[in-house]
Amino acid sequence: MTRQTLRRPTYFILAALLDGPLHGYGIIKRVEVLSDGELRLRAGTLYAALDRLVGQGLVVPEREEVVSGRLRRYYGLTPDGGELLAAEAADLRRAADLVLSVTQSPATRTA
Amino acid sequence: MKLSQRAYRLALHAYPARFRIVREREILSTLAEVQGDRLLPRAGELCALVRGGLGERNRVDLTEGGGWWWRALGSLAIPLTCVNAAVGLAGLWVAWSLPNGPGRWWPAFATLALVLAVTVAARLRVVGAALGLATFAMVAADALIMTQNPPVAAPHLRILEHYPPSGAQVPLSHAVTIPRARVSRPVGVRSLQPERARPLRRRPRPGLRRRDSVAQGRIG
Repeated sequence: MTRQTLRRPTYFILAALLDGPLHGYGIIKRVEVLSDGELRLRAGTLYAALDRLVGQGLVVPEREEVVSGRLRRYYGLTPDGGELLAAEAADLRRAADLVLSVTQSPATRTA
Repeated sequence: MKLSQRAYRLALHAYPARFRIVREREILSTLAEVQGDRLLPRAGELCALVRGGLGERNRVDLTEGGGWWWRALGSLAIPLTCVNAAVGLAGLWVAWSLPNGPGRWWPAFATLALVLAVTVAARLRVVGAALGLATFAMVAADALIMTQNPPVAAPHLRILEHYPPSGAQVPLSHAVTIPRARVSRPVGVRSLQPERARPLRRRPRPGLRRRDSVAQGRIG
């Protein structure tokens, strides 16, 4: 069975959790940094994606804390989530290599 | 509470209640951090909340990828079906309440049939949305036809042109003539001949004749 390609926001959300559990606002800021400011997640988008990822067993809520009256729930990557992210990254690398190997070959450069 | 928090809390009602109970405080906390010192709510955040809520209600992901508006349209299939059901039932009631029975029954029944089809097809989001829109268009067209050809203009219901006399208070039921049933003639030479079209001759009712006479001052 072929694996479904991750959408861009989902990919970056999973990538943001590679360094450890983060809460909602932390994920938004981390995704912004990882994507060089290209991707700015909305809260509605983030929590819809998190809800789906939790349902798929790729992300798990780990702990909660209240800071200045604000509830922060931390989400972490599950082993399945990590594997899926690694597989997606490998696919992206193969796809990138396919193009780069042609565009950066000597024959292409001289042409 | 700040204006932005009120607006976000209102937008969160797009989500089902079970989701809000679990996530509302967390989402509002995140939005408060995103918001910073800004007073007015961000339109993008409000839109994302509504999209996320609609998607959550209909189990459709409306937050990512291209063509989300198609999925949003599909997610509207169920509410659209409910509206159509209400309109269809109203049309059915109108059709059955006409004096001569269900003269225009087919649009209402067709609407209900399509409503059922939409309900079934709601799982196929785009198909459901297309069917829902088609139903809605049909009901609108039927309403337009009914407006242009109201039931009282139907040929079997004639309103007497000169009745009631000016100034008279007559019940509405008197102003409508009901077509008479055809009476079979006794078999004879004349009845075997092809019947010629005769101009319709209206005989005023006794009450009317007397009242007209009274109005003209001939009697009494």
